[in-house]
Amino acid sequence: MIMRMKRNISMKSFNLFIALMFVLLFAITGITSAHAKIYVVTTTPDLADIAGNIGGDKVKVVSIAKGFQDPHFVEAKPSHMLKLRKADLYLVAGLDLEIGWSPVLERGARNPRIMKGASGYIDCSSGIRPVEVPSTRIDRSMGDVHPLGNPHYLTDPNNAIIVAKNIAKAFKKKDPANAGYYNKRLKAYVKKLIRAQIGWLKAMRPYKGLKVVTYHKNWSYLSKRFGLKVIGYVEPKPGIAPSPAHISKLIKAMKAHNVKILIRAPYFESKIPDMICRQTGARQVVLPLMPGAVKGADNYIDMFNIIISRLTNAARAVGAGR
Amino acid sequence: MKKFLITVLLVFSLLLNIIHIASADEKKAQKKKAQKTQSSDKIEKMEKQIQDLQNQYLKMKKELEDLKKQKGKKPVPGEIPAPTTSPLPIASPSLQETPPAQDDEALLKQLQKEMGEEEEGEAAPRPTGRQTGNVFNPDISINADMVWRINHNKNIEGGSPFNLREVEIGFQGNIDPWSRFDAFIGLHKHGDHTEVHVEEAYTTFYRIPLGLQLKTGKFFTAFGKDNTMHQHDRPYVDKPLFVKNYLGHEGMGGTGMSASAMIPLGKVYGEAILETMNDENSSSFTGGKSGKVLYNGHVRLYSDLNDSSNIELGYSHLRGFNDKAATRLTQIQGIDLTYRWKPLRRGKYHSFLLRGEYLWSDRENPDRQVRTNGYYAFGQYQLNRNWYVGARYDYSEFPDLINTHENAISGMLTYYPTEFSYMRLQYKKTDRNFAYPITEWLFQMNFLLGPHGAHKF
Repeated sequence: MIMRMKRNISMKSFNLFIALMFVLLFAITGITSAHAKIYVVTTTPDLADIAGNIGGDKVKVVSIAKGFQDPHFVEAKPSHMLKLRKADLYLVAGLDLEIGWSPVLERGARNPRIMKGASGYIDCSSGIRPVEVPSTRIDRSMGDVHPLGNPHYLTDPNNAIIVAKNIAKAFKKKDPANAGYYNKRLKAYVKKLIRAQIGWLKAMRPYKGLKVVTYHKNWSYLSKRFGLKVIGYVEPKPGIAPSPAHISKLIKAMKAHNVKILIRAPYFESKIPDMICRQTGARQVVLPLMPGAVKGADNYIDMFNIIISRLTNAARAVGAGR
Repeated sequence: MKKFLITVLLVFSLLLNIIHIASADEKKAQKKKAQKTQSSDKIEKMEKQIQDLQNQYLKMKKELEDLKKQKGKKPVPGEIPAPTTSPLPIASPSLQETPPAQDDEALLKQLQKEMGEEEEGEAAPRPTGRQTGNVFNPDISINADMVWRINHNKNIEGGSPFNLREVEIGFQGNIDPWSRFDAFIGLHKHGDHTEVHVEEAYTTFYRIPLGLQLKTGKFFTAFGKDNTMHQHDRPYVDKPLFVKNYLGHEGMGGTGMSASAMIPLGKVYGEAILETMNDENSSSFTGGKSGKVLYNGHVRLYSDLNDSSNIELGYSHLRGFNDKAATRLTQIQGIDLTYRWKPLRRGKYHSFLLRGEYLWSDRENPDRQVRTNGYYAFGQYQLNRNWYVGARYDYSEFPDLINTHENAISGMLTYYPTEFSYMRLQYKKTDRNFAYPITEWLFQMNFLLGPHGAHKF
């Protein structure tokens, strides 16, 4: 008898539990707040800044990754899913930059507007000419290689123009009523980017051919645009932690080529680069990879101002240039 | 219960230690900051320099324009002549407001040509890296899990020292715009033959109204945290004792259906899962003899504490019959709590995870109600880019036995050369009130071959 009673109680509690869950399920999942602005979620802050410049006050932009984070290794936290759940547009950098985390968020957000294949999923790399696209069969013995090419394409400011155009196109499609507004803002922003780039190119002109070493393959596009010669990397292969044997080889190469600049993104450790610089007399230059990565780099253009000023200052300090 | 309290205390002291270490790090960072204020002065200087450069450039530009005005419409060498039809505002009061854009673009092209290493050709078509016939193949991954038992107590049942514990083959991909399929086939050695075992094979429907997701097929029961993990995702070599004793050596799973809903509560992420599946489990249930189904409900709440740390709380309730006639119920309830710390700036090098799960089982036996429980507490600290150190305390009773329990203490050290492989050494000492204690040294090697899958959180 007691057993039966106990069982009834536990049955009741279980039924209550299920009922409660159903109530939660139907009461809360249906609610989606209506917002007048286009709600844009981007994977990285550089895309967010460009989108904000084009969208103006017609959009609300949120980035998932922070500027000082490694964009390859962002955690697919449920709190990011909450952001993505309400998104009208999802801007990704593409070229597999976010392959380690974005797919989990896309599925977890339960938002059909922004799923891959839906009109709200915007791959901003469309139209970019990727560098380091493997021309031979690749496998993991080469490290964490990217089959589609190097995904850090926004380290070339010229690619920001392409991205800005892609984003404007997406905005106009989503919100045709304000197409004129987006066009106007796109024109103004592209003009600003062009003028800024002219300044950066001129500032870098004396240092064409400057030899550098970088920590990770973050700066291939930057090097190509501004005439830097990358002699080697602190990582033996992309995504592989540096080994003593590789470092000693790198130091030899730096001495042989007289490399005096080592570039590192702020999310990498500084111990090994410090050691390399001590042994080679090179200067370590921390460059922001994305807006927000270092103080003062609040937007894409300011970030590039810092990149160019740090590079030119370092180059001058080591006596490079004509 | 006393032991549970002791564990909680231990875990908290560990946490305090970690916080202490973290605060020490902060102090160091502050010291560095003091040094950095000098460099921020430098930055200011640099910014000034840039501004000067910009001003200089603008001046030069104005001069150029003035020159042009004087020379009429003679094109400047190296620049594309502006089309005569375009109404260019020549006498602009402010250069910044209405510049002749065409000139900027031409100047940019010239500068780019000067700085670039080679002339850029046409955009090359992106190679897919696959033959067209293979494009729609699913993502295939193979995971090999090896466990070497370095020493083991002769008092207990044997078992060979070298063990290829599992080869798991995963097939994953989208079926169509509405659904996705995930299958994991495990090959295990059982005695002298190899068994093929469908661990999971399920279809998920993503585009269901109200943000619901439906799962159908065979899958792991959403009971707590550890039970839903694949072997290679576990941060330890073995399974916690209570998972083995209550949910089974392979973990609990079954063929059935599952529905899940996201419950956004402001900044808190909530998820509710309801599942029903065949009674395929023989540890706490009948292993299919009852012919009935099991029901499982799981709720979890997740919240960021700040950018670097977050907390997650879950509750699970599993219910089914434990006899052939389907008259006697077993109900298992569980609470799981996870704390994670991973600083965004140095997330590549340091992280910390603390997890506890507690389970209690109410089992109706013919003569009486059997109430038993089990729990574990696990902590793991990432030392640098490749190394992790962890510890776990386990306590577990058995679903159908009274006054029988075992507890274990383990420590592990893991080395990840890349994210596709790891090696792990684990020490484990198990005390049992019904048999001899066991001391084990386990060495695990795990290799993952295949595409870069996204990491579950």
